[in-house]
Amino acid sequence: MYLRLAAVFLLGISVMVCGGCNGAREPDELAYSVAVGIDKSAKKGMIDITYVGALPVVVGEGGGGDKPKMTTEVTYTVPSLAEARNLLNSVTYFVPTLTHVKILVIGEELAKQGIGDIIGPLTRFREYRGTNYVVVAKGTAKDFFKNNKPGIPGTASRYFESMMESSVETSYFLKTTLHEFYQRLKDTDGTSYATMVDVNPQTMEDKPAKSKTPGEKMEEYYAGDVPRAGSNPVEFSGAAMFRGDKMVAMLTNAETRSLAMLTGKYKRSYITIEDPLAPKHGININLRQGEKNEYITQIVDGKPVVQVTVLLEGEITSLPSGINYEQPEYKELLEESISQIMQQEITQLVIRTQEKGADIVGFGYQFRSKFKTWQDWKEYAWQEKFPQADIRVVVKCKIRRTALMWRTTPKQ
Amino acid sequence: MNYQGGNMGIAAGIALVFAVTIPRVFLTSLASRLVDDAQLAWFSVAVSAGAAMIMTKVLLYILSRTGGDVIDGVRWLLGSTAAWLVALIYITIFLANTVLLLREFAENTLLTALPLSEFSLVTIWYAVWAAVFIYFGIEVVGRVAYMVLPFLVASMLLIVILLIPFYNVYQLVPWQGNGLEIAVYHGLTMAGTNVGAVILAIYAREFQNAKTTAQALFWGLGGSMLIKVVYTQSYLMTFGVYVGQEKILPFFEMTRLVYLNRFLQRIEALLIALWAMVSILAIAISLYTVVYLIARILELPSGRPLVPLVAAITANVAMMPPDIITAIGYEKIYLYISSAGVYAIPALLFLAFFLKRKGVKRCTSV
Repeated sequence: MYLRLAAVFLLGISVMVCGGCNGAREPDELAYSVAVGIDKSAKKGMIDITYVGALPVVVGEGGGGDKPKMTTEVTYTVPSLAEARNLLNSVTYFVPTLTHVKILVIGEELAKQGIGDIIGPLTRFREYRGTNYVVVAKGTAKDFFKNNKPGIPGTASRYFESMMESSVETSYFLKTTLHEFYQRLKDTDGTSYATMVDVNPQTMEDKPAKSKTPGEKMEEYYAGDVPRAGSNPVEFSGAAMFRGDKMVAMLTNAETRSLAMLTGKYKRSYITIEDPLAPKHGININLRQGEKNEYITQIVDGKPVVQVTVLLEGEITSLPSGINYEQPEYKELLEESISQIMQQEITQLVIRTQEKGADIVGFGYQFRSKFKTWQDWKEYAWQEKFPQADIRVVVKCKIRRTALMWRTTPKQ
Repeated sequence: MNYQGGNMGIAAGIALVFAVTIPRVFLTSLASRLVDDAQLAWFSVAVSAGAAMIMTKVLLYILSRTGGDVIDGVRWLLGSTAAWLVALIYITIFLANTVLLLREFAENTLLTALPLSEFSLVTIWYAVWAAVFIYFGIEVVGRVAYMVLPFLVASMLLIVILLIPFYNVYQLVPWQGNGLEIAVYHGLTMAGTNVGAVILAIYAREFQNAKTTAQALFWGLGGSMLIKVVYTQSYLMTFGVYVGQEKILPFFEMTRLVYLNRFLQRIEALLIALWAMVSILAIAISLYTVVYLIARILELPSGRPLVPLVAAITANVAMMPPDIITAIGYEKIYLYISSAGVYAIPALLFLAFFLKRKGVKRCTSV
């Protein structure tokens, strides 16, 4: 009897404890930060931390007139993230919580200086998680948040999350998480990369990053340079390349797509290429990764040699020239043309990564199996070998579909 | 306390062995194994379990011939003093196990679920639950264990599946890690991780027959080994050797990483409840074993009056290490030392049995 009473008593207490009565906080007591920006401060040894707090939006509000603001920003100059969190408590009667942070935005200057001291504590603190997105802002994170005006209904956290998840649609930027970033920071077999974000001046000024790859119709752009007008001033485009904990270069949107193809993260995107037989026309192809990339690796006289074969599949979505590329003889020509263009683009990316000594693709992982023990692999010192590695890229593209038309009739 | 139950079947045996040998997956052990053996951590885990299985099988074989439980067996083969000594060794091993599990799970509760709670309260909370639980006896603990087991295994495997998007298979190579010999050495010296399997010999009288205990050992320890090996590989593919070594709670970190889409993420809270259940089970089984052995060796009619006392002692001792890192350090020492319980006692009994075997007749019913 006593035993049952004790069990009932304990269960009663359990209900209260496990139900959150101990240390519980109601949602309306909490200040939810959905994004954190980290910039180099003008003050030596300090950092500028910007918290983006979610503002509660009443359901049904905003049917007419001004749209309610989704977020509020506050910036502190502090020696550490922890101190910024402390100070956050001084401006709001809500209890600050970072458990709903979706994105960490790092200012370019700080990224170039090195972010090892910033990233380490994030992985230790339970309110951050490996699935938080990490991006680098060209300029400052503070400006990025200030200019971010999604202009769509919904929550701020959803905006950041959906934005990053939508990267698979084009691969012009990639979903880069804290988990992967930190892992690459610690590993010697590949270096980190993060999506670039910037504020677009929206002046329609055309500032291509470099000359086009022969056969490509579309220019390549760094984040913030895409000629456009209207919509949200901020844009996600390209990537930041890291060596160790320091950002060493930016990638254009097309280079980022090539990175996605090499890392197997490429899902699909449209490309516009010159018509091989009528170059003034363009052909739109909906590309996707056909199969997993094939890596053939060997070590010749201590030098790593790798051939990577990227297998792409495409669907013709526009054929303005009227040439029958649906027919086998023309189709092969088109496939060859796409393969050549993508091969050049990917090769250019590999050359850039080797010049910077930053193996963002992670070729190092492919060589691990050549070694028996961990010690042997560490002694091989991949980071030193990578710039001298002989890396050959082969792209094979197959046109699998021709959208809703099976043949093109010439203009009468 | 009944010493001659004979009511427990294979399912209860499997669940008890599984519950008492699996909980360190939820603690720092995976990270420690990566420090020691890098990519070959899974092999080291398998060697530990394999060694424990062989030695426990030897022990069960001897008991199948001598009849009774391990105390009876030792008393019959080596005399009463030896039986006392063996009981004291196992009491020490299981008491230390209880203390360490109590401390680490209490700390983990603070880290993961109740950061604002008072540490001593959480420790006492676990101890009280375990004490109340074992008041009902080992059979009840066994039944609860086999009810929890399918959910536990299914949930753990679900995490492994949900983490597939994060896997990098190249993290598994170079396949020999820090070296094959080193992995074997670590596997053998860390066999203490599975010393809990010995409960089959300690509670041999509570099981239906020798075949029951043998099957419970095979499936219980084998299943626990399989899950541990799968988890080691999954953890390695997710975090790699360098980052994997850093984590204090590998399992929690794995569950935190699950992200399928906006609607399926942040599932760790569900899994905290799971490991809290397993931890109470494991603590309860260890605590009960201590009480059972004390009662058994002193030939007390019941061990129940000892339960609150032993629970209070374990809770107090658990609070003694000044910090969690010290506790983890003690655990490593414990796992080395408790390997003696895996090897020494069965080996000694086997030797004694070998010398006395002519006088021993086969006993199929304990």
